[in-house]
Amino acid sequence: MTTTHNGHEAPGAPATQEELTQELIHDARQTGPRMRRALWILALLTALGATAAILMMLGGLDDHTRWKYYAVAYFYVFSLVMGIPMAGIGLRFARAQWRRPTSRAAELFALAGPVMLVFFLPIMAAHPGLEGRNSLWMDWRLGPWFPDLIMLTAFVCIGLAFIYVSVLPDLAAVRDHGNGRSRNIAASLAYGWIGTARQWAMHKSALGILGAMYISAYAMTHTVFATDFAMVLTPGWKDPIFPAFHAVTGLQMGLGLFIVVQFALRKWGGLARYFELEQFWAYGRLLLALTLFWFYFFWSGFILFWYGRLPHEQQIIALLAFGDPAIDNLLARPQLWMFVGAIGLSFITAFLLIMWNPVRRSILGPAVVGVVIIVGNFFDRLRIYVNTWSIEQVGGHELHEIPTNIGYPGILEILVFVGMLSAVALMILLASRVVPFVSLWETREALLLRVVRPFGVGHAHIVAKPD
Amino acid sequence: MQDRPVLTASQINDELLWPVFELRRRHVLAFLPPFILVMAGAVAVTILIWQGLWITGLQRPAFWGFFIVNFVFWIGVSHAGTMISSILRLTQAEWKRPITRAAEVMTVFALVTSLIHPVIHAGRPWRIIYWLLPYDFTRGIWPDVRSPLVWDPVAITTYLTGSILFVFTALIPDFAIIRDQSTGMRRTIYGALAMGWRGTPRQWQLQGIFGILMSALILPVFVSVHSIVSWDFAASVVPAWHVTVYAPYFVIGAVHSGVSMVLTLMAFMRWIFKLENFIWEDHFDAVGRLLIFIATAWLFFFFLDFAFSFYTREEQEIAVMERRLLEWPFNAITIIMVMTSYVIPIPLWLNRKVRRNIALMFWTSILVNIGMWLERFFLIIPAIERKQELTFLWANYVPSLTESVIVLASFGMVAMLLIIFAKLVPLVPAWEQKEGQVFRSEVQIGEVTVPAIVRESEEPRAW
Amino acid sequence: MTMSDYKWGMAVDIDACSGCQACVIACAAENNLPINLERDFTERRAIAWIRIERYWEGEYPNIKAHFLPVLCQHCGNAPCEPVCPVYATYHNPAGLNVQVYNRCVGTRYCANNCPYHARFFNYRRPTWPETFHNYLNPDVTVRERGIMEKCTFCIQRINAAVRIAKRTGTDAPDHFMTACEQACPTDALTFGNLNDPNSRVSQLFADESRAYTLQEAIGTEPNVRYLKGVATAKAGSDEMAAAAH
Repeated sequence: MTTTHNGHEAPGAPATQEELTQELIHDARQTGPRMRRALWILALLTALGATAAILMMLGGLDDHTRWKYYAVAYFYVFSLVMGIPMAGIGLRFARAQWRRPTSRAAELFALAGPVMLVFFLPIMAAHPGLEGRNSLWMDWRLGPWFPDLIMLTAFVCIGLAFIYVSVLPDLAAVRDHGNGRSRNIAASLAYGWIGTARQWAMHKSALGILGAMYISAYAMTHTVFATDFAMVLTPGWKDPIFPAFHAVTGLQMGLGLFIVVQFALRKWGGLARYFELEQFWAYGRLLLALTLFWFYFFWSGFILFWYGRLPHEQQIIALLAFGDPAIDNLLARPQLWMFVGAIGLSFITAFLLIMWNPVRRSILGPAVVGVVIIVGNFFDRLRIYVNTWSIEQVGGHELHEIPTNIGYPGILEILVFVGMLSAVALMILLASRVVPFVSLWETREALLLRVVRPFGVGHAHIVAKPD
Repeated sequence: MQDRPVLTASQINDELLWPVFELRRRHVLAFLPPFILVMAGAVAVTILIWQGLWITGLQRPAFWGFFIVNFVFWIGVSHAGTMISSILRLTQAEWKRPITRAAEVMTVFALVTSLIHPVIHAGRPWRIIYWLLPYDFTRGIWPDVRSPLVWDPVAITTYLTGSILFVFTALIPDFAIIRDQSTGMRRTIYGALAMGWRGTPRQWQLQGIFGILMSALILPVFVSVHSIVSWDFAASVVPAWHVTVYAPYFVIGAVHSGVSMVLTLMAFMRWIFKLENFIWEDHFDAVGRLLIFIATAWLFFFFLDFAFSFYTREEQEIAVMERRLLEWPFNAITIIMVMTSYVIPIPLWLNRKVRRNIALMFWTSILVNIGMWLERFFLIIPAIERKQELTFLWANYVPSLTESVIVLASFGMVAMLLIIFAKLVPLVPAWEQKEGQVFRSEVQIGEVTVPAIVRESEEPRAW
Repeated sequence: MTMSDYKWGMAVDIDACSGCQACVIACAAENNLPINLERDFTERRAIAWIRIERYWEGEYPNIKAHFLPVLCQHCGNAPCEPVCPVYATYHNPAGLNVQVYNRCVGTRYCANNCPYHARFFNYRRPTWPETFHNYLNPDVTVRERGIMEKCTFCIQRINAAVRIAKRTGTDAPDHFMTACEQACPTDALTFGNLNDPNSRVSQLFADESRAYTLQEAIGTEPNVRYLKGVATAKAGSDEMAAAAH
């Protein structure tokens, strides 16, 4: 392969293909003592979380209202991590060149799938079933357990297949250039890949197909989860946009976390030249769009409930947003505070910050907004799952009373929450010991497609656009 | 490369500006069919206003009919312009260049056409001023801002104003070209329209800033217009209309039909105005790829709406779904709608060869718009035909000849306005083409030459 | 006494209704409704501010008909009101849902949004045979083509009664009737002032064992209440209510 840079070096980027290989295969995968310690701590927290989940199951599955904070933790983490690979997939479909150094870090989050699958089992068992409730599954006895589990399993498998195909060329690179135990792992995973034209063509179409499947599975899993684990539990709540809201907010908080992850990789991962201002700026714009979507999808549902003035929909507004109107003291309405936290951070604060170009066009700006969004959407999942899982009433056209038995999470729930996050982090850090956080093949391809040439009085970047 | 011709500035002028300076038979022939349709429509509208709404098929409970369906359809089509020029401008999609103006102008004309419908659909069109303008100062009676029907004109006129500004500023450099190439009266008129454009760096800079600013500002309007149109239905308490997903569902459906209409338009432009050098197969390919994504998103919302209509298993919604799925003619309409708007075109478009076949793209885009028109019919009409349980008047709405003629004429009107517009200014922006020629480039990778573009940026980019 | 001291309402005793349709005719005569020809029925454009809906129960020969007179429910929380762009329909202080003919442009949104199907559109210009012209009620506007109309609770009679009450200084003008009530041979319809706890209609409204509203679940808070059949009410099964739901 020939290099195409014409002596006009863009600052920050590795100058040659060889440098890229050296940096990503050797330097970035060093496991120092600090990393080792982090891995052990994460493993410990994961184990604690799993134990806590088992203890909760032993405590009983009959009363689903006891599981509300588990539901919050699970669906929050699920929404947070499973949308991140979409940043890589979607931007590859859009042929955005700037995503190349970042897409691997996003796609690695597909590895959170098995964790989400394992932690799904208790909440699935705690689901009170569909008897006497509205549901998408009609009177099917196996719903929602069976279809939801199948959906999630399919989603997780697609994600794993996708990440495997995506890292395949890099596994081969590690096999060819790396050393140590990770080389052996990579070699056993990448045995057939030698980079023939035919293999690359298959790789390209496999990425396309699996990517499209991942997007569909993402949407469908969010649809069934949002419906079966929130809407179904609430009498009188029929809201077809809610699954879409759930999916879109999942993307928003995922992107928020992803920007924070990029910030961390830049600051502590030694990968600053891959997560550059250009990437932060572009992701900032995307974050702005998704923040606006947060509000749009919320508002599309809210305005109709509010405007229609149907009694059963007024109750849903009370449940999810304003709290019981019978309580005069606003401070005593927990629903109101969750709602204020959700919309105040996820939309209002985030939007007021990210709308300014100087904020987007910085490293710190999008990262700070990312944190705001992660926190805000925690309140959002709190408002959705705590409130719906507190309802004891089954069936009926209308929700009769707004639950007041919200309560606080116990130590087990907190351990589960921390354990889930640690497990996800552990999976990704372990994977990054084998393949780097920056895709070698995508960045090397970027170098091929990008040239700096004289243009007018200065220089310009030429980007090749192969079909 | 052969399918991406290299043109000089004067070649671009010659090939794009001929419709302005000469009248060819092709142009006249293209003008005649839509003109005849519009005349028929004018007669129909006159009869309608003279006679009253009894000559339509409207009755009770189907108080709304073809006009509303067509109104929603054209509002939907109008989403193409912003989608193409604003979103693609912000995402720096290079392939948008030759189709921006046609899409934006189609937006304007589709909006104008759609605005006719609520007016003639009203019982007393001559009193429409009560609705549109806060005129009654003496008695202090204003339009009721609680009504979605008041949000409509506000959103649509905002969108129309924005779109016209968008089109006009993009036209200024081309007005200047025509001014510089003509004499006499034409020079005076185009000189006035060009507003002193000399092509100084500052003027170009301002024009560029305006474009970006307008793209960003018009996006909320773009989303809100069709959301508000959808709330005409969803804000009611009619079962099967009162659906929260309507806003994004309508918007994505609008983009689906609008962008497909742009495909149709691109094919027509290539044929009528011989624009093969500007509208390439690559452009059809790119629009096709975009449409696969849009159509699939549409399908997701269609699925949500569809699945949730059975969610509560309430008799009223089941009655509407029964009508949609089982009863003639809606069972046929539903099948045709799903086939034409998704099942037939999308698998075809997945094939690169199809995306680059202009005749096939033309016909599939027509299919999509048939499907999307029927989709509006599917969504709007059954809900009011099977409105409530408190009536024996479950009715079947059968549109009358007058209504059908007016619907057809609306298509003629958009086509006619576009053809007249093409006589006045080039449908492909000449200045954008010239800019595109400057920014085009090639990169040698191994033995292959790959088309490339120049990315403007103020700072060096790492990637 | 001002208008806001009254709140008009009607109780409909469906146990008493025999389905004779006298109210329909009386309403048409009182309120200058256009004559419904055969054409109007086949086109489904007939106008009847009050209509009798008929429900069959059982199989022939053990068959029973139930009748449900439906008129504008004058909802306290009316779906038709906020959707009108020109304020042609609004809530007046006496609880009436009022249609302003001069203001109406005929968007027909109110009719779509009425869950009771109580609104009618003038597709044609109403005409009467020459001989009928002197029979038209001079107190009621003849509606032009292109506007909505619906039951007004005979607002011309209300206004006249309130005027008289004002002049004579009496509190409750309870001695007048709407046209439909006046024509009802079985006394199924009772109209009156709901603000007066002693009025007949208030007492009927207060009968919790029998009074219900149509489509209660959509929260329209109608000023028309229905009294379910005594037998049904006693049996505790509210089939009629279910049928009406």
